[in-house]
Amino acid sequence: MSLRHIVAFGTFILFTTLAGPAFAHTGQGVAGGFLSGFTHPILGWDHVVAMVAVGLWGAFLGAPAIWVLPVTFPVVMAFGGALGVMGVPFPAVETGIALSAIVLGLLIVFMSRPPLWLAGLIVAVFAMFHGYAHGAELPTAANPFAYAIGFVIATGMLHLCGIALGLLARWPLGKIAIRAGGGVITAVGAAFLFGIA
Amino acid sequence: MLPSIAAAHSSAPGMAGFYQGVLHPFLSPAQLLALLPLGILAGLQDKKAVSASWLAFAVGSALGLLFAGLGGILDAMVMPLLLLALASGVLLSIGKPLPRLFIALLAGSTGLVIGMAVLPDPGLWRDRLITSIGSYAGVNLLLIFLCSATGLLLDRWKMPWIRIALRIAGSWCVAIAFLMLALNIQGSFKKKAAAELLPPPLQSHPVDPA
Repeated sequence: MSLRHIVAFGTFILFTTLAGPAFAHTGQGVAGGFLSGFTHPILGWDHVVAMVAVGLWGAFLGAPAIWVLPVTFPVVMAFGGALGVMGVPFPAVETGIALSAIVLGLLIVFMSRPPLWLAGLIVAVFAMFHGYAHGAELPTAANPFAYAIGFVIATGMLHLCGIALGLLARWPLGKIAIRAGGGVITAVGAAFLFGIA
Repeated sequence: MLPSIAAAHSSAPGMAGFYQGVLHPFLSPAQLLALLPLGILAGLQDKKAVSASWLAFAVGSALGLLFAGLGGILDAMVMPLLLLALASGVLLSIGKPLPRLFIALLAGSTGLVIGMAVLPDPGLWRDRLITSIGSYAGVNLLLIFLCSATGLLLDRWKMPWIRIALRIAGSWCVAIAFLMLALNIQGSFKKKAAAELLPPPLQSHPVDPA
């Protein structure tokens, strides 16, 4: 691929991301439910960093963690979501979400390799907090079913982003980049925990 | 942009009902959610298990339609459907080969519940029959398509990540089914609570206290 092609492709991507969608409808019903569910994890930085961290850590740990963690997270998250839907009191949800980013980020920074069961347990505990936050908003969604599909898919996609970034671990420079990414994730989590963000 | 045909009537008499029936599982989230993991799960099994699950599903859905048509349970099919979706999703996430009888039983029971859920509303018997045939064709075709697509995907491309992706898809189905179950349980609680809070029904002839 020549430089001209790269510039043309880059410009195309730039304009695509800048263009705003023109909605003929208000986005109520299924569309509204799906969009609000899909954007809920993506528009919250605390959710984004934690979910990317799950994929990143899984990829760094390698098989079978690369799929065990992204399978564990949505299932346990749904359990937390169910508690949110039912209105069961759950302590310190926002603190738990911020802590998830800090802890997962630090595990990446120090390239920690705990046993698989412990890695799964850590991810499962934090998934409860994220799920509860999503689930609490579910009953008020325009279309709860579409909202649930949206946020589960968005969560999975964020994990995939993390896994894709984690594949950089094959190269020495990539490992440094991943550890730096872990540092950024920790910093974002700390910003949420101390109310800076 | 392009002009489309302005049809005052359907292309063939009775076909509108048939199409409506075929599309029913695609437009019903609970049915789609039950079929999706089951189809992929069946597609992951050996050829004999695939045939057994197709057959069990076809028989189950026919029995379900027949049972519902004879006046069986029509409402409250969402909860069993979501429970079956949850079961299929969990098994798909685990990703282990299953005994032939087990997958056939799962497919048969899903077919039975879906068959009961797709029966059209009361109306002319001919219209109901045509729509029911459409629904039967729709749910069975969808299962066959999912099964075949999964088998083809695994036969054509031997990459290990495809199985991983399918397991992750299974976990997504589990998550969605679990949340929908919670919403349905919460909804039924709310209805019960609302019914308890309702004032007693008004009497047409007030009782004279004297």
